[in-house]
Amino acid sequence: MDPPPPGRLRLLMVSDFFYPNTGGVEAHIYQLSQCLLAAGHKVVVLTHAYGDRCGVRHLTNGLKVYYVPRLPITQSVTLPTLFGGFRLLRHILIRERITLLHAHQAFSTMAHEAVLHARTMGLPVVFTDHSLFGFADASSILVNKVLKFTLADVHAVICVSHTSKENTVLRACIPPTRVSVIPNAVDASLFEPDAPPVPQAAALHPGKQQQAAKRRRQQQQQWLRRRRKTQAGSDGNGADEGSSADGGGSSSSSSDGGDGSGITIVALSRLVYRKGIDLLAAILPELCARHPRVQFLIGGDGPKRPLLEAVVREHGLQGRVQLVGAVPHEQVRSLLVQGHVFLNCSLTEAFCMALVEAAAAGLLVVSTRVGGVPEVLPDEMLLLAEPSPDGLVAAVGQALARVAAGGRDPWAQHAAVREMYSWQAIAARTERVYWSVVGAGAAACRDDSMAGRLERYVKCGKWFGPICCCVAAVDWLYWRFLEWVDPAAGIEPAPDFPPLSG
Amino acid sequence: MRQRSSDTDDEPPMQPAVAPLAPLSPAKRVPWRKVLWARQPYDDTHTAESFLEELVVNATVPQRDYATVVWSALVVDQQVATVTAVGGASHALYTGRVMPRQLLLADALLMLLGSLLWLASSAWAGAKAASAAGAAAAGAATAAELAALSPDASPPKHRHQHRRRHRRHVQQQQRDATPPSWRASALDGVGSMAALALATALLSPLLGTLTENVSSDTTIACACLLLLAHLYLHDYHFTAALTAQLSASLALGCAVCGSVLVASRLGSPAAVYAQLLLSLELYIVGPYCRRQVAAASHAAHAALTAGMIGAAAALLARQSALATSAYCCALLFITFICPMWLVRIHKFKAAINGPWDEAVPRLSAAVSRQLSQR
Repeated sequence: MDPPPPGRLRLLMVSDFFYPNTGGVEAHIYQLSQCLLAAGHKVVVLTHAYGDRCGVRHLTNGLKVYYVPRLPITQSVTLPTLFGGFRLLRHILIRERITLLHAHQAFSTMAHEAVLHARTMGLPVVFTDHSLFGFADASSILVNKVLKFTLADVHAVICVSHTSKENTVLRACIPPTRVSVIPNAVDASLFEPDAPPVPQAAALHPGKQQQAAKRRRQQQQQWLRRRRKTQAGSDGNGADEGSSADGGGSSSSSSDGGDGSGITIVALSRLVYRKGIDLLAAILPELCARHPRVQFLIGGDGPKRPLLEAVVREHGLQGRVQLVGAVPHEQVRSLLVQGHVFLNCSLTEAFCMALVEAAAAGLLVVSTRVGGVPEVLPDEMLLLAEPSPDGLVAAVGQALARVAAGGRDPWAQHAAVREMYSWQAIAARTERVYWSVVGAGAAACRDDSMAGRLERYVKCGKWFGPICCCVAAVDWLYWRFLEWVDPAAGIEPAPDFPPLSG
Repeated sequence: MRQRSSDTDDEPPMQPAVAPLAPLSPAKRVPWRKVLWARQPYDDTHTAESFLEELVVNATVPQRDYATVVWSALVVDQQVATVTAVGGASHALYTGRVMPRQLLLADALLMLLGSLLWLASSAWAGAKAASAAGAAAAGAATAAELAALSPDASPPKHRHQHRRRHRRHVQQQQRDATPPSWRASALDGVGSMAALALATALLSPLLGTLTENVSSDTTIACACLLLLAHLYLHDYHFTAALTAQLSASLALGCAVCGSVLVASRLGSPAAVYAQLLLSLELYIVGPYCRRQVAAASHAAHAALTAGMIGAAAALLARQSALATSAYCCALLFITFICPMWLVRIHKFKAAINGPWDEAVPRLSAAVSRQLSQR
């Protein structure tokens, strides 16, 4: 297998979760891959087929995606087969001449299996854990055991927040020094505030360059608006949404901090229990009663939607609470900029991307104090509340007072968020993890022979350790068998596209 | 990093990205903060002093002491004795040691005894609640009444949270719907018991031929499995109704099904009727009666347990010494060994909690009831 030019990597990202599915993991893999491609590496994504999207696809900038035919059983997680995917994975690894495998998400069975097989084939592996898990219920215990097995032999682990790192270290019993914390990011340019920068803000930040940047952003924003209108015109369904988004946007800019009309609170998440929709339903009537000028805009869809609808109906809040249903990602910004306060009631979050998106759009964020949320934004953008109705009502009250007091500059906040989170920085930090694993020094401080691997596996536990060893040994035998039946020399290497330059 | 490589395009970069992004070595004095929004002069793998600071181990795990666990195990003994008694009676019927008529008489006596126990313990518990009400405020009275109704007002803590919530909800309902006097409930009980006896009588000829073309071995093996399932699934500390929970309903179904299977091998309709009536009395009415007794007084509970164990052992002793000794060993194991085991392994328990736990929204009772209605 011919090595990539020096300074370049051939990476395989593996996860059950990828576009067309949407979510934090999917966005992370996509954005990270794009930035790594831009940095000159080769990136290939491996996921399972989504509906009739099966086979090989090329996304933006030549990102190659293998949608392999495997059966998703629940929440787009594939059926665990342990050795079932090895043959195909080996072909892909050899064809694409992969030098490093990066697996994502602890409940992706494809990721776990790929880690095992890649380790059998002697490839360095990096694993990113995106979520938090408990320790008590049966499913957590099972996932944690599998995670322990997988992480016992990976070269590096990445977590998306410090809380997530603590959680992963406890679950998988790995030394914390092997775990890096690299957060998610957002593409801040997609979440620009709606209101044009006020003159005071420009005075606060002198410098021609910045003013020029602002002008550019303004133009960009106008262009975006125009494009949205043309899009809305193209299909009938989107027409009202686009126009209502625009109408709402203009009203919010006219009423920014003023007394004429009310303040709008935006909530946007899947409407499921874990996102705290019960809490939201519990506080809606009280918030409406306490703050008579406040409007609510709730986006998202899910099994808890009937509950919210029933609460709205029962308390006669139809005029004040608007349930807009599922919001496609490209329209999230137009929903966000209609509001002044973003409300998140989640019960668990490793890293809440929605908070950062809302902050980038210039909103003041109110969230429950769960998981990694307190780490995500500084205090001036984020108000934390205990996950109880009283705590949330109080925090929303504070947020409304802050907004009413005025003096908040959405563009300054946008610039600050842009400074805090960017995918380029995240990709650079991830790349450092890759090089720490692939570099010449890395091989010296780790025994990657089969004996070394078994030694690590046997430490997994008195009973579980030997089981892990057996699985690894059988996988090795299967690999040797595959090498005999289907030699690597017979597999045609795929050309690198775009070509890797040295 | 990309800038660097563009600067030195021609030079062979061996370890391009190991050179850190930001100068990390100086200014280490800046204290590390647990935030993601600020880039700090520390490695991504930096593990601060405060790592796992918020970890809490065994915060809500109750301390168990041996005596309490033994006491709680008595209800299990009662249930095992119940199953054994039904099995022993069936075997006695099958071998002809007991005539169906005798067993029917025993059923009637048992019914009478059970009713008397029920009435006595209800009256006793009512008196206790009344005295408590006289002593304390009105709120305390409701609590005492509630405590009298349920022997296990504070549910075992190892049960799952939602189950506890559910139970609270059930207790709430029960509090709303508690009948003012036990007389009404007694009348109600008599009525439903009569209906039960009548329905069983009508069905027993049919049930007697249910497994005619299946061998005895298969039937008995199935019945044994069903009874084991019953013992596993039974709700030993039910509060409102025996079948309030799915597993408890399944347990009752298993027990009745097992009895029907056994009864179907007995031949005569009278024997089937006597056997089914006995099992229905013991499986359906028995738990309520025993709960009432347990709530009334500790001594009565202990005495009832001893009586049930003794009765079942006496029934079994006339038929098989081996079965009797197995039964006694099982009871000893359940009553004394298992609790000791539980208390001993308890020190290995590590319930890990921390900021990563899924929050439980603390909704007030009224709000959660309102929400759960939808």
